[in-house]
Amino acid sequence: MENSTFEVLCEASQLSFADTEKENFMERLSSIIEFTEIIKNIDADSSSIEPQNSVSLGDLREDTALPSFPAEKLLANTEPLFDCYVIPKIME
Amino acid sequence: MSTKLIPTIGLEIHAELLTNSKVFCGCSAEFGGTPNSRCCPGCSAFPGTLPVLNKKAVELIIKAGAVMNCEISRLTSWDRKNYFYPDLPKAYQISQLNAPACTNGCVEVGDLEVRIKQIHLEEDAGKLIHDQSPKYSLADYNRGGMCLIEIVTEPDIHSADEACAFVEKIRAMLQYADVCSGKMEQGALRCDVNISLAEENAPLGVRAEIKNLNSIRSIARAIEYEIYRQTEAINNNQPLVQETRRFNDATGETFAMRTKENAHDYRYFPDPDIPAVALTDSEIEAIFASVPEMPEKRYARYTGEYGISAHEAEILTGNKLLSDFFEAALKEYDNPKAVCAFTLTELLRRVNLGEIELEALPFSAADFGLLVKYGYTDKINRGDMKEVLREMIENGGSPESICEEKGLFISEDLSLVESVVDEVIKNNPNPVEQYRAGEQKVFGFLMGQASKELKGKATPAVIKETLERKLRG
Amino acid sequence: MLDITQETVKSLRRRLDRREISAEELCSAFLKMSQAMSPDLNALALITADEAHSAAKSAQTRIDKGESDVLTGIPAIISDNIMTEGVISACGSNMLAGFVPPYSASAVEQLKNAGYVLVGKATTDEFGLGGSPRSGIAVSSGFAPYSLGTDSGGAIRRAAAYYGLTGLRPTFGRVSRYGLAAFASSFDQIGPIAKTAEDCAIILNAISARDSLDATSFGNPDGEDFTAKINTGVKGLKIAVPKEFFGDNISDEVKSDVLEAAKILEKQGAVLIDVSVKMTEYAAQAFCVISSAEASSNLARYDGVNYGLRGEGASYAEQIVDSRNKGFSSETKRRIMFGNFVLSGENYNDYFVKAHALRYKIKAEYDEIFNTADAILTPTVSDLSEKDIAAKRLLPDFCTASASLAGLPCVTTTCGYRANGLPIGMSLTGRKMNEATILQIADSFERNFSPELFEVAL
Repeated sequence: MENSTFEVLCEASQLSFADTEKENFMERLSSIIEFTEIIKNIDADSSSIEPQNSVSLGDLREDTALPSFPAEKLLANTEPLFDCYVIPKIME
Repeated sequence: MSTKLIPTIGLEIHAELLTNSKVFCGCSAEFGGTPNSRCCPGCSAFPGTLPVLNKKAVELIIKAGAVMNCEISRLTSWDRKNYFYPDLPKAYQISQLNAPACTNGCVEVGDLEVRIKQIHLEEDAGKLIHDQSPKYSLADYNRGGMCLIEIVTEPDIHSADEACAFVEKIRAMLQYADVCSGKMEQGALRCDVNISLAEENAPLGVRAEIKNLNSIRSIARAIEYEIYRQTEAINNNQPLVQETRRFNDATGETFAMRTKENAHDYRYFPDPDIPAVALTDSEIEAIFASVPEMPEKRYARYTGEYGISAHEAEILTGNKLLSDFFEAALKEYDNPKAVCAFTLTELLRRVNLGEIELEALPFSAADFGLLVKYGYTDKINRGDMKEVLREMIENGGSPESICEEKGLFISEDLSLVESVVDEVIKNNPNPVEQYRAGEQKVFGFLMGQASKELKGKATPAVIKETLERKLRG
Repeated sequence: MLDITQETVKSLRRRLDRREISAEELCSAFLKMSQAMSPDLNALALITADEAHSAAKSAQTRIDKGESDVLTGIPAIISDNIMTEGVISACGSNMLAGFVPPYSASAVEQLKNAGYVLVGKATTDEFGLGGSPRSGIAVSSGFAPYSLGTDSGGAIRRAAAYYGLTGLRPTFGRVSRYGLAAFASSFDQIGPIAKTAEDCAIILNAISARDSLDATSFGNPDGEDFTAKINTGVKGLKIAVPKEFFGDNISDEVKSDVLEAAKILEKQGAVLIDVSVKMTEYAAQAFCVISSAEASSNLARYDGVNYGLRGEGASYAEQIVDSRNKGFSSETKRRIMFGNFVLSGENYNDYFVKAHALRYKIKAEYDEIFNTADAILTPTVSDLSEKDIAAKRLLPDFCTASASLAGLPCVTTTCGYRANGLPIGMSLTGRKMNEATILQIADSFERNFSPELFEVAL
């Protein structure tokens, strides 16, 4: 696997690897790619991914607003500020 | 540099749908609220929660497709757009890539024809607050998961004016169809602008995307600035890069965003949690049939059938609430010119003064129509209409009870007029003498005396006729 | 004192109803077993003693009032990747260490309404990714007569096979996925792990429901009783035996025991048919591609912002990477990276689309067989050599992947023992929404193979 490909995947996955673990990890990643490579030979086109099942309009959820969930319960697994979730300052 | 550079512009308009609940959960879709008070484990992306599609959202996007002359997909499905940003707690946005609800539409704005590439349904992101803390940004997911449609145009627009006219038109149409409030100040309608410059008949230039413009004015200013910036670059042989930019309202300039959004591969794939929706012809027809009259049709009716001036019709139809109010008032009193005149002078004046809001008027259109009817059928003096309206605004009550209470109804009792005029003639021997001697100007004085007594009980015409007759007599 | 390790849901129901034992005594007995043995076995992530005692008390009140449901007062273990309100649900991940969900999975709500007694949470592979059989340990060790596990590529069935139990993967959509921390959304199903097919049927009755919180759930639209065909034999049922599952890729021990089981079923009146399902050769690969793609997206929400492990970093970008680096195991990272690989650029067509094509081809092959057969009999674990297992570590093998890909119900029950004494399982895959028939066949076999399970409390 190309180093650049690996870096793109790290970015997409929001993961990083220390130089010491990188080689081993790349090897393990390559092994799973090799294992699945065989399916490239299967006949398929984009229609293969079209939805097989569908529901009708009447099956969808009615547009009724429900009481909201208590904010303090949602925020209980973190340390909120002004009832908000906290992240390091974002510069846009 | 002599060759003329032509701007080519495509728009992506995001419109928030008028639903009660969010697109994939039952949380309230109302604007605002204290942070994270309109949230549940679903729209906060807790483990194991799942999206459940809102029926109304699907109906409304089809309605939007109807007003923009789109084809409606019989099978429409949802895809995940994967990217990390703290306003998107799932780290993917549910959107539509493979089978958007509406495609191949077209909207005419004057002579300009703008093709609509597609309209798709997606969820809004939450809100990040940057000014509450020096160290942190704060995430409020109240807006997260609100129903959003994205209207994507083909690059058929070539100036800031055209872009603004188009957005205005889309906004009015969505308002009329009850699809979106159109309140740009609340972010209910936002616009991304894709713009590039090239010489005529040359291939398109390198485009910039300006994100998140939330007023007609900023759309115009951002486009004007980009035309300037890109023209300068091209004329000075500076390379342009395809990039995402933001508009700074304070400086009137656009600037490149720091985030590497351009490098993104969103790794779209069909969302396994949401079954595709199959629509029948009759369901689509029913939604198309529910689309109300659009502004241009109303305009034609107002200027044609009602004989209202072009300028007045434009004001009335430019705002759906106003136009709806006008039509509801007509149901009470079918005199379009009269109702229009009082609407545009008195009602709008008070709206513009900030005394009342069209969204929440303290009286009904029917009462307003009745008041105009009183004035124009001599039930009360026309000059009293303003006063009655003020009373309706300040203290409430129906025009009937107010006119009754204030004694503004014109009496049909002619004997009262006769006796009041007799009294005036008796009490003012000198002016009467002068009038009879040919001094016409004192008539006004005598008329005033009688009118004062008969205020609201007789029309000026009746008083004048009676007084003239008695003076002659 | 009764030997709780030998009791089934059904036998315990009888004992509770006959007042041979109280719900509280039962709860204490299972808790005692859990507390004594779980630490050594690493079977439970959490023992919920306080909750269990109070649930048992309410259950007994219900029983005394004569208002008991079939599961009232019966202890259960829930896999840790299934949310339980107010009880830590860490999903076997550092990322969610100590995470207390403010809601329960819909299946758990159903059990709560039935008056169940939660004894503890079973350890799981991180987010259920590995498909390891560990959720079977709790039931086989007697911590509870049944557990709710999750099955994406085969974990429930493998648990049954490894620990000599019966496990049911219901038809996709039969049980709501709400509250099951998603690994591979188009595969994940909650199902029972118990000692008998009859118990599995009883539990499926309790947890199958259409759920307004899961748009892919259809529940039990016909109000079917899944125990209806229990103890009715297999006379006339057609059981397909696909040759691809009995070739070189299966150990001789497994092969001969499963084929022996087929003969027993034949003796009981079933008709065996030889069939072929060619595409299953690629089932494990197709499963691996699609499930990893879905997992890469499903696990993207774990960034430490609104719950879970919060990493360090001066910027959002640094913090989120640090959270994920520390929160996920190496194997989970591999699946996330692989999932993003198959969704990126051209790989989308080369892997993801191809895997879907395979998925539908396999489904079509199964549908074809079900035109004539009532069930398909296969081994549950191919029992590959140690070397092969190492190469494909933690990937479910093709024995279980096919039913997952096709979204079909599949039950595993024990059909023999290896020379080393470890159990061997066989799988019966059924038509869509036809759990009743595969449970009927498994039940018929069990009554012959493990008669002792049906003699207790008679």
